[in-house]
Amino acid sequence: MVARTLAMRGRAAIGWGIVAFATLQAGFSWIIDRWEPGLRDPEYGRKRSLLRARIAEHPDRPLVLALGTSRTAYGLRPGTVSGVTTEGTQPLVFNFGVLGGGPLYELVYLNRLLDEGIRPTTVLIEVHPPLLHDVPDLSFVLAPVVERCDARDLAVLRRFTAGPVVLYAKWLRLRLVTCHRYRYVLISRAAPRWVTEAPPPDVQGLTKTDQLGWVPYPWDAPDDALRRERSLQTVAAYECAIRDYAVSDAPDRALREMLDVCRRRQIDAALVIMPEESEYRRTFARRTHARAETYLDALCGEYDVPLFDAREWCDDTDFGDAQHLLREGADRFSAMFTGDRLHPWLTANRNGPAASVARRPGSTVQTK
Amino acid sequence: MLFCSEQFLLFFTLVFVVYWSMPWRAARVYLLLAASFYFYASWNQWLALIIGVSTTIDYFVARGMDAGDNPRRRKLLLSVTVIANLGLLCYFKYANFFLRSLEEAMQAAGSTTSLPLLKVILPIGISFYTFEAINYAVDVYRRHVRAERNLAHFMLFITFFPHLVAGPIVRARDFLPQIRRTKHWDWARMQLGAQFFLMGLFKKLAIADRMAMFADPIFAHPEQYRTSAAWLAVLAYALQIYCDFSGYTDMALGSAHLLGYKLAKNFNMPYASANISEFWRRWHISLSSWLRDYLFIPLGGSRGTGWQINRNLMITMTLGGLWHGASWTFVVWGVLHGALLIGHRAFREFCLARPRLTAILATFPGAAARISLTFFTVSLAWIFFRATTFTAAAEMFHRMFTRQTGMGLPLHKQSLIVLALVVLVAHVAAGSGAWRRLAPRLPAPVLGMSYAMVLTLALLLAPDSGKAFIYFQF
Repeated sequence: MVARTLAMRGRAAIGWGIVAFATLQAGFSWIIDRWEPGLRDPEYGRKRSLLRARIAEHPDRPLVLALGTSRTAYGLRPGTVSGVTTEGTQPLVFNFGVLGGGPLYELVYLNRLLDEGIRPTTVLIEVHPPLLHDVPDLSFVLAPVVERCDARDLAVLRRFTAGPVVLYAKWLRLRLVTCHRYRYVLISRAAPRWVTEAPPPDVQGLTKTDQLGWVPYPWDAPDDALRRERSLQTVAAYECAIRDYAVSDAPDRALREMLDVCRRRQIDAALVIMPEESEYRRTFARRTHARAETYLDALCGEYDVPLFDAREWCDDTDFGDAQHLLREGADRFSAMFTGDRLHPWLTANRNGPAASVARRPGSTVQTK
Repeated sequence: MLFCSEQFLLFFTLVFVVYWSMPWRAARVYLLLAASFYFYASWNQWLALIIGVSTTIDYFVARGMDAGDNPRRRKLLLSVTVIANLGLLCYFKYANFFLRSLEEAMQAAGSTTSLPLLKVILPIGISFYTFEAINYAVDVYRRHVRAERNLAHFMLFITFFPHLVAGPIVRARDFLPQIRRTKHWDWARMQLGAQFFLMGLFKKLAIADRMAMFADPIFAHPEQYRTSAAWLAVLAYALQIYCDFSGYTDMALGSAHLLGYKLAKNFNMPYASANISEFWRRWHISLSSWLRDYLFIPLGGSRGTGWQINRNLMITMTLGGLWHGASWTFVVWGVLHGALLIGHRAFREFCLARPRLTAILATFPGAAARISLTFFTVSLAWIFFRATTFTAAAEMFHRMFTRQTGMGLPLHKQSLIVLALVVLVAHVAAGSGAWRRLAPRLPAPVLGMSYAMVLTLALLLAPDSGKAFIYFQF
């Protein structure tokens, strides 16, 4: 009798334990998916909070949302912009560039923001030509890592992966022990003194994100020799993408899907190529620019959107490495971009069809 | 593969499901044997061959001892197996240590000779399985057990994966009968196994690995840290080594229970010991009882003159220190504990003649003082266990006992203090019997939820970089 009671109690305890553990993991999943997505994707969470705060402060200003990579994150400083007006209302330009981002990141983030009810009037979509070539060595850049995604993101990403089952399996494996996979962010939030590792410098730099989403370049300004060394490192890193360069299916579809979404939602869209350092530019110009330009011109023509090609706009001394602007360079670029390009385009859009100042093939805005 | 790794979880789940799906006892034995060799081979395939060959030889030698009555032949066979196992241990573990020590001694004497070192990989768990083989052979020789006739059973006794790499050192008379018994599914046993495993996981991930993040940087470069940091590093290491080793043992016990086997308890709240003798009855019980039964007692044990007893104690503890690692710091650690045991023996005799002193020591403040002093002494001795060189150990003592400036703890001290308090409260709860009285009364849902909380906390508090178990290196 005692043995039977103990056995029943043992079975019940194990059963309750399994149910309780699964419930706890589901609870943690709910927290990182619904209650505080910033725990799952800290960079997105930080920028989202800032964006919401700016929208709450300026509900009547049309929102210009800049999506992009670290080039945008470090390079576009909306806070330095002034005097950009359309119909007397100054647009709210917000920098939503993310470190290590690519076309699929931009698509996922655009969908997330729209799902949350944040509707920009204009979207600036950064294009980085090497990232239009989908290669395995850069796959971590092209698409958000599974740790950052929720089920809705997977529904988007599954269309761009050759193995959706693998994608879902990886995600489920993470979520079986949510508390363990996301322990760093959970501990950072609940008990910051218990954190055992400091974040890397570029992630630490995110704490310096300004009110309009710009992130300062996290390393010291280099001398010429160091800049050149960094430039060569960047070229080496992207070598796999420029070898046998061609625009791949997944990035192409991601761009098109973003433009389709904008068209459906009546959001003005423009493509932007951010400034590049001269050595880097020369290396890629020989091998990729012709194909990339042909592709982008065709895409812009098809969707009737402008392409702002700012590759040659900045001096080498404005850069910290091959592609990321220093603070002063970001200031100069931002003033130039918003004053000389963005303002006229936004004004033209308000005054007539965007096609009147749309970039046709062969007429992309290149000069300073 | 570590017990707290995903790889082990998958491996164990598979073994568990297949094991309990099979109704045949013999098939289960072969399954566990195959799983154990796979487990060992996951560390190194060639070393799995060594354990297989040495175990087979031990099996036949024991059968030979059991088969005849000729005392000389039996003694010869015993010598063969003991020397073979100790030889294996000495070659893989101590050969380079002895060569290096000999070279240093010769150089100190003025020689310029340089001795070549052997290229050997230390087989994981060798200190444990050779000791098991030796205790089996001695027990067969003494006729405490019959030699096992089934090779598969004997191999499983040595290689059973829950205890293979870091103990507990099992005795044949405890384990072999369990192999022969048919196992039946028992929910109460499954609950006990899960409880042990979860407790071990918590100790390892939430406490031991975290304490390592305090202790490792300071023991690596003590000269950079201030006095208070050095003291806290010693506390952290005391917690680390206890939770690491007892955590591993709990997981081993839990895994064994889940497969229907019972392994001997290896720890009994050693930091609650009131003296050093008691500490060695509570710490690494399987090793201390092995050293008592197969070294201390054959040397003469507690019989003979005071000098002889002290000699036996010192030899046992010195070799016990050497067992832990091929380094003079481990030897000194062993010698220290030998000296402490001798000192305690003398103090006990001193107290026997002073009933008032004995009464004072038996009071609550007296017991608290004794426990504190024992913990303090053991923690200081751990410095030799942890430091890789005498210079590093000396620097730690220097940092601790003189006022030194330098860096503070590598992490905020809050988690160290909280977890130290958790260990203290757990000791008090267990030692007072409160847990023993409360546990049977807890409703199953409460028990289940507490298991879920313990597992969640263990997974949440695990540092980013997981560490191997300390005793795996022995």
